[in-house]
Amino acid sequence: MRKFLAVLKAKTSVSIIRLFKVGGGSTFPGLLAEKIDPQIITKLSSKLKYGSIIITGTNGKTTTSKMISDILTKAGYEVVSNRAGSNMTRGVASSLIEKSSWMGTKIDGDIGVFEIDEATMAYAVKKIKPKAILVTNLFRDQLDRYGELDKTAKIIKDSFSDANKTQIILNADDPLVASMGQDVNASYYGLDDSNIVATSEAAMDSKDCLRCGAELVFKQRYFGHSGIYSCPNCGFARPKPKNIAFNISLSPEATFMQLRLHSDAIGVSINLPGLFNVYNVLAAASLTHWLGVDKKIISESINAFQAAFGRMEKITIGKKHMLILLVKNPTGFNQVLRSITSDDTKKTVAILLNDNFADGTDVSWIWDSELELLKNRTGRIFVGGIRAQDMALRLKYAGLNMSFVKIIKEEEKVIDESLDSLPDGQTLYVMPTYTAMLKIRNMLTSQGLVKGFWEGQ
Amino acid sequence: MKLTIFHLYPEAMNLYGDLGNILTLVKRCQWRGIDVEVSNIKVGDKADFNQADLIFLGGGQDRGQSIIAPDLLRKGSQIKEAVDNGAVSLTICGGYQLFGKYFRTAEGTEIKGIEVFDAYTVAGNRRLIGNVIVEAGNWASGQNQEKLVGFENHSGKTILLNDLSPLGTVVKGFGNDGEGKTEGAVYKNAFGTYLHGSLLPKNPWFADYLILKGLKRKHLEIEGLDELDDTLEMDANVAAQKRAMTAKTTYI
Repeated sequence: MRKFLAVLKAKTSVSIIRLFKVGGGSTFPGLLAEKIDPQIITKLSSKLKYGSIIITGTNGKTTTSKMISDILTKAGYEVVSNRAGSNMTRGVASSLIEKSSWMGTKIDGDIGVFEIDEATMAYAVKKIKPKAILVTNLFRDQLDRYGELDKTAKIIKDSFSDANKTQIILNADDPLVASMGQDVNASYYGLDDSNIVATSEAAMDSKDCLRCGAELVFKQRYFGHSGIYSCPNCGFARPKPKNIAFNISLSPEATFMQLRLHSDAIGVSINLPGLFNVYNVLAAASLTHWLGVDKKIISESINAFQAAFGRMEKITIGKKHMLILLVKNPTGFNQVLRSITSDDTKKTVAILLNDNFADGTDVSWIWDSELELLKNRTGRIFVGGIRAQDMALRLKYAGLNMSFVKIIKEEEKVIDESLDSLPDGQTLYVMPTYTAMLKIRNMLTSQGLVKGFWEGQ
Repeated sequence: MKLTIFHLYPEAMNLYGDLGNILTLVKRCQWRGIDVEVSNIKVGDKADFNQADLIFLGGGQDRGQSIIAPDLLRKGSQIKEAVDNGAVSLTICGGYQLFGKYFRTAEGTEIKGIEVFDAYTVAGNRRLIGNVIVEAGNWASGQNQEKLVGFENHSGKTILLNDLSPLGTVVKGFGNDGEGKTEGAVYKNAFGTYLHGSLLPKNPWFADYLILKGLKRKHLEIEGLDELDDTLEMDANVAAQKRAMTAKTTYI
């Protein structure tokens, strides 16, 4: 009865919320259901025939989860996922409720793919009891919310203790992530490409061995603190991955790579730039290959992949284009800046900095990001959001010509005005933080340019 | 004319935009045609602190703090001597704590500091997080501005002993110990604070105050610095103050 009541009330709230457009309805119903029945997630997820997968880490959760869902769908699974971007447990509860019958006895799906916020891992693993956990990477992100990076690593590692038969899939190139592999059933993925070399020391979040504290020695560094490393003191070293990406070729529009998944080899290309996306592809391929999906299905789904909103999604408005690149931490911001400045043309750019809870209330991370990269690579720069002045100030100290920088606080107006100033046929590069991205999305949705939150992707 | 900055442990101690502070000092010198040199001092490096006009130490995670603490102790007497001879120092968050007597972690371990400040820090049971506005203390009288704005994120509570002066009084935020009265510490030209954000870009008057004090170490004749256009800096300062007054402060 408790479960029935929980599902019924929550289902009603899904429709009511959508009816009144309060939001995507992606967290509130779950919040309600979990209040009525704290076991709701466990009860509903246990009805998924093939169990559940959890994806966690700082960057790449959303893109990787979407790739995994696409691959599994193509392989014939019926996927339940919280891909509307609600990665606290109530988002999981909401997605389960949406797919369940009114009584909660049946569920319309056979596998769960859930992206989970790092801080929620302990609770989520207990409730979901996943068959596999994938950890993408750990970078400095919203430290104001979670305390410090080492503690986040510990929270995730500790959550494994509630998952003793679970397959743990880890990024071997990130020492913070790889060091979680001790005493668990772990497998690894990583890059094997000697042509990829980091050019800057900035955004090196973690240089020390998490096990003994000595400074790690990097034989090769891909970006941030990712690379091939070892500890001269305790012997901890990058585990040799069985799933690798190699022959990687990067350009501002597309990425090609070859993958070796144990003994299987495939070549894939995606219409997304940046080394981050190589990791996303490799992570999704490693996990689905472990589940037993055929390599042909994996490569076909990846080749056909469409980015999630704000994750390098390209939108065409009349004769103009807009590329939305979500930014939320120095490492991710640097990757985005690097990929849009990788050719000589002068780009029109809009940067939107908010400091709401979901963005991280501390904006100091922009001072650890290399805005200097924009020098000589931009025409006009539009700056907006709640902390627009902070961002403009950052650009001033980066040495940019401030006569080309315009501050407009309101997010929607920034987009309007920057699109107006953009010549036909060109692309506006928009870099918003999370809540600024939601505002842009709402604006584009109301103009019919993109689909709503809950209409899938 | 030249300003020599010693940046202590830039790799191990750079948590919340500390590079923004260095960048601000450097740019504001360069814009005025003042030479500026930044020496990065790592663990194990030999450094002659008599050469330093301005010493900077930023924030770090607990692990970063324990890694640099022994090396800092070895340099401690030299740094104290430099401060006593008029060198300027700015230490933030974890760096500020290590310029005190000790930092006692949640596990009860005591990390010894170099005692520039007559203060100690103990780990608290909650993190103090949010935007901060500080009314600067007496040291700032005669300045055009007296408010500092920044962001704090610490679980350590710092207790000032005897007659050590705070950097200022908390207008909004938690400050040294979460009681919300005092923030930071000042001893001679040594300034310690929990404010990052980054601190100096949005508080240009404080950046200039440090630069001038630093230059005076070797150039007593200097009376002031050329004025710069700080419109954008002060816009950001005002916006951050507004945010501090309206945003909820949280602790976890």
